Formats: sequence, C-alpha cells, structure tokens
Amino acid sequence: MHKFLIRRIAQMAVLMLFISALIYLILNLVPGGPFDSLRFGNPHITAEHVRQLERLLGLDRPLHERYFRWLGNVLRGDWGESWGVATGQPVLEIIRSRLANTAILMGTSLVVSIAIAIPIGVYSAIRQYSAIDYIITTFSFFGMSMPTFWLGLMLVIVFAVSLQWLPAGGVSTPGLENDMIDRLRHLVLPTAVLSLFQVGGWSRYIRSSMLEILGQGYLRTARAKGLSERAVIVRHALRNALIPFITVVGLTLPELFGGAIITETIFSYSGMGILYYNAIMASDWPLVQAIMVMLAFLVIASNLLSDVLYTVVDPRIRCD
Amino acid sequence: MVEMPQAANECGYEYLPTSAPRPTGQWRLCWGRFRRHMLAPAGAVVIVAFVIVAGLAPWISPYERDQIDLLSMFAGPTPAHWLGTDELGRDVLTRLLYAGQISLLVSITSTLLSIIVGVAVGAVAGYYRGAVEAILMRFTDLMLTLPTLPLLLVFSKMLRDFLALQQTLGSNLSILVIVGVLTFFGWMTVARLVYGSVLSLREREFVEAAIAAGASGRSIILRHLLPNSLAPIIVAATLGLGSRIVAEAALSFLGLGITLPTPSWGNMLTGAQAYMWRNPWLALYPGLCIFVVVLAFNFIGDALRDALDPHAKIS
Repeated sequence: MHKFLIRRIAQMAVLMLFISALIYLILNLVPGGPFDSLRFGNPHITAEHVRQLERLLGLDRPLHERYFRWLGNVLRGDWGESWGVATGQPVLEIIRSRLANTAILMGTSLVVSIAIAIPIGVYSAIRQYSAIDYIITTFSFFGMSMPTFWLGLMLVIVFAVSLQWLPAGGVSTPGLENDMIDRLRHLVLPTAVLSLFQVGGWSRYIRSSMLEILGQGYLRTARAKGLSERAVIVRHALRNALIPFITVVGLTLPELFGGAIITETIFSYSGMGILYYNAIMASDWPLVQAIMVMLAFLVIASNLLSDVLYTVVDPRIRCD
Repeated sequence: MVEMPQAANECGYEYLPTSAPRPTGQWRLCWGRFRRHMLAPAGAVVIVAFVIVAGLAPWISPYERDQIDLLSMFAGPTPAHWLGTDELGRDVLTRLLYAGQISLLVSITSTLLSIIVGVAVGAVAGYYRGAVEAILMRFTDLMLTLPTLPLLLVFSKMLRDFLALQQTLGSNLSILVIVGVLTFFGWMTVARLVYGSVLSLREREFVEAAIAAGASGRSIILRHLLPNSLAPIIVAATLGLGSRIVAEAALSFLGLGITLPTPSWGNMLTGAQAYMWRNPWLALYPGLCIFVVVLAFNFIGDALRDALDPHAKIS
C-alpha cells in the first residue's frame, strides 16, 4: 500500500507538471497577448502602448523562460497578481476569499445528490419494471437532459420572482451576513440546480449496478440464512453496489465545478465559479491560470482518492 | 444452406426445410428492438420534426429573422405573434426556428468532426500499437482528465479575442469557433471506444486472414475493424448530439458562443434573463426547446445502446 501510494503520488507530481505547462502554453498560445483586446474600443491605445505594458509584466520574454519563472514563484506560494478582476491584488488572496462559498455550495449539493440518488436508485432496482421504476427512470432522464442554466432561470422565476419565497441570488442578504437561516435560504435554489443533473445520472448508475448484484447467488444465500429483506438489500446488495459508485462520484467532482460556474453566474453567488468566469471575460490570465491549475490538482487528487477508497472498501482489490 | 444441417444438428437444432422464413438480418433485429423501447420512437419523431421545421425556417417563419418592431415589444401571445415578441419586438417563434437551425447545425457538425478525429486516433493507436499508441492514448487520457466546461470557456474567449483583433469576428465566424472548440474537446470518448474495440478485434481470426491475404493496414482498419466497431460509435454519437446542444447553449448563454444578431437557444436565454422580472415567459421557450431535443437524443441513445448490443436477448 505504501509503495502504491508513493508511486501514485510521484506520477501525480509529473502529471501536474505536464498539465501546468499545458495550461500555461494554452493561455499564451494565441498570438496577440491579453492586452491587445484593450485596443478595440479605444483608438488611443496603440500597438506600442500594448508592447510597453507587456514589457512591464515581462511578457516579452521567451515562453519557456516565463513558464519556469511562474512555476518557481508558484512553488514558493506566489501565484502572481490579478490583471483585470481586482488589479494588483494577489491571486491567492482573491481565491481564498471565494473558496469557502464554493466549497459550501459544492459540498451541500454533493451530499444532497447522494442522499437522493441512492434511495431512488435502489428502489427502482428492487421494483424493476414497476410503475415507480418507470417514473424514476423518466425523472432521471429529465434530470440529465435539463440544461442547468435554464433550470436555474426557471427556478428563479417561479420561486423568487413569482412566489417570492426565496432570494433570487447572492450568498446572503446585505447586513445579515452571519444569519445562518438567511444563508441557507440563499443556498436552496443553487443547490437544487447543481444537484439535479447529478441525481439523474447517479440514480441510473446505482439502479444498473444494483440490478447486476440482485441476480447473484450470495443474495439467495443471505435470504436462505433467514435475514430480513431489508438487511439483504442494505447490507449485502447495496454495499457492493456502492463500490464502483465511489469512482463515479470521484470522477464527477471536476464536472461539478463546471456546473458551479453556470450556477454561480445565474445566482450571482460569489464563489470560485463566477470568479473564474469573470476572470476569463476580463482576460485576467494569472487568475485563470491559478484556478485551472488548482482545478487540475483537484481532478487528479480526487482520482487518487477514489482509487485508494476503492481498495479500502473492497478487500478483493489490492494495489501493487 | 445445404451443408448447414449437419453442424446445426450437433447443436441440437432441428433441420430447417427450405421453406423456413428468411433469417432476420442484424439491422432488422436492431430495428425491432429499437421500436420496442418505450420512448425512443417518440424521440426520433421529435428530432425529425425539429430538423424539418428548423430547416424550413426561411419559408415557414412568419417574420424576418431580425425584424425589429419597437411598437410591439414584449407582446404576449397573440394571433400575430404566436409566442409573443422579445425586448426588441422580434417575433419569438421566428427566432426559435432559426435558433434551432444553428443549434442543430453546430451539434451535428461538431459531432461528425469529433467522430472522424476520434475514430482516426483510436483506430491508429489500437492497430499500430507501439510508440504511436503510447503518445496518442496518453494524450487522450490527459484530455479526458481535464474538466471540459472551464476549458471550453477559456478557448472560446481566446479564439474570439484573436479573431476580434483581426476585425473578422462576426456571427458566422462565431459558429465556426464554437464548432471548432466543441470538436477539440469532444473526440476523446469516441477515441477510447474505438481504441478498445480495435484492440480486441485485431487479435481475431478474420483480421489475421486479412493480413495473410496481404491487405494493407489502411484497408484492414477501414474494411474490417471499423465496421465491427460501429455500434458503440453510433451510441456515443447520439448521446454526443444532445450534450453538444447543451454545451453550445451554455456557451452562448454565457456570451462566449453564437454572437447576436444570429439567434441561438442559448443567447435567446441571455436576453430573456435580463428581462425576466418584466416578462418571464421569454425564458420558457428556448429552454424548453433545448430540453425536449436533448431528452429525445438521450432516449434514442439509450434505446440504441440496448438495440445494438449483440448480447442482448432477442425476444
């Protein structure tokens, strides 16, 4: 296990190096730097001004030289300064101020999705081809086909504009920043939007892996021992169905961030997603770079984590 | 047929006289299974209807696409405007039809291009193995690891900035940009599927026979390996059509997709969002179109997965 971990972490470091280089390369690939966009809309800014700005930021140096200097700074904990969203502020500080909000949103929606997907997936597997199974299946397809941004708009229109039950956006009402209830009320709609897509896909997954297990011999053995049906399903069937599900959840984490970008934009929820979107629209490359590298790290780390968890819950799998 | 009975009898089958019904072909079997799926035929009807109606938009739409009528902004549903008008008095139904054209065009084009790239990468890596395989498949895996939407956003923004700088970014070019980006980040699933299928097929006897007969690598891939890998490609493509419609709409919604005045279901929603307090109905129609089309593609894809599976029960 130790050897496996060390090898995987070493691989992870190499992969991160590649990915960070790739991200850096991509963001600097397009001829015409980030300041060229200043030129349209303002005829007084000439190509010469743009070159001066680029010299100031060291953008006139060769690409590999810039990359290694950036990498060196990052390893020392300096991710550079923002160019557009909050000019002059350290990137890391901006991200830190948003991280908690996004973590809360993504965490809540993860818990909610799992809490809904598992019971309905199991239920529709036990009652395969029943009316409820068809309803759940149809519902899952609805969830998977629903464009998140549209669902968000519809929920805002119904619950915030028409019924006025819930706030239309934001993290909290100004002046009520420490009010838990107020924060929860702001969390309801974004969480619903972010969860629905997951619930659709995951309940389908749980259903099919439960169906596979329900036909197996050891369930008959468990029933023959006189276990209650509940114990058979929960302790014997579900536990085995959940093993591959761990990987599925691990692999959706990065996708969840994609959903967070859209959700936070619709609900003006001040987190990493909307920060990333604003950074892109403002061509704030240091900020975009930092978020992308952190995201890549999250992806790779969650892959490793799900592999490790896999070996913990399934003793048949050994990692050598 | 004459020599068959011997072998068939060993398997316990009755000898079939010549009057037996013609054996059912593979595609006919699949069609039979597809039809039995509850909702897929309905999905197919929906898609065909959308393609026809959107394709005929210039002839059947009641107004010009960008015809502004400032005297009837935010009109509700009336006999003159069945679905009302938007913030500039443009007819919503007309714009929905044209937007459907764009959405379907973008999705179909980029799906086809993704399949071409994916098939090429997967087949070459799986058939030739060695260094080519290592480079291509490691790259595929790397691309699969990266989260798609954040990258789509960055790429669209950079390409659009670059083109805007050349003063060339118009509505038409924005369509090309989005097709390009969706293709660049959309070929990996097909590559993985084809790679896996080619890996297992290339060890089979019929490929060995083709090699012995002196067939070139190209013809083995095109004539023997790909036709046998069609089923998973078709399923992935169908599901891909739906997911690309959502992706295009999301990008357009976020202002990084199709540029106005060309309508797309996504950028119509952006317009609707700004006025949702005043006229919430505007946000309903474009999203409903996306939802229905994507749902239809997902149903069809699901049915095809069952129908094309050779191991599925033939009942």
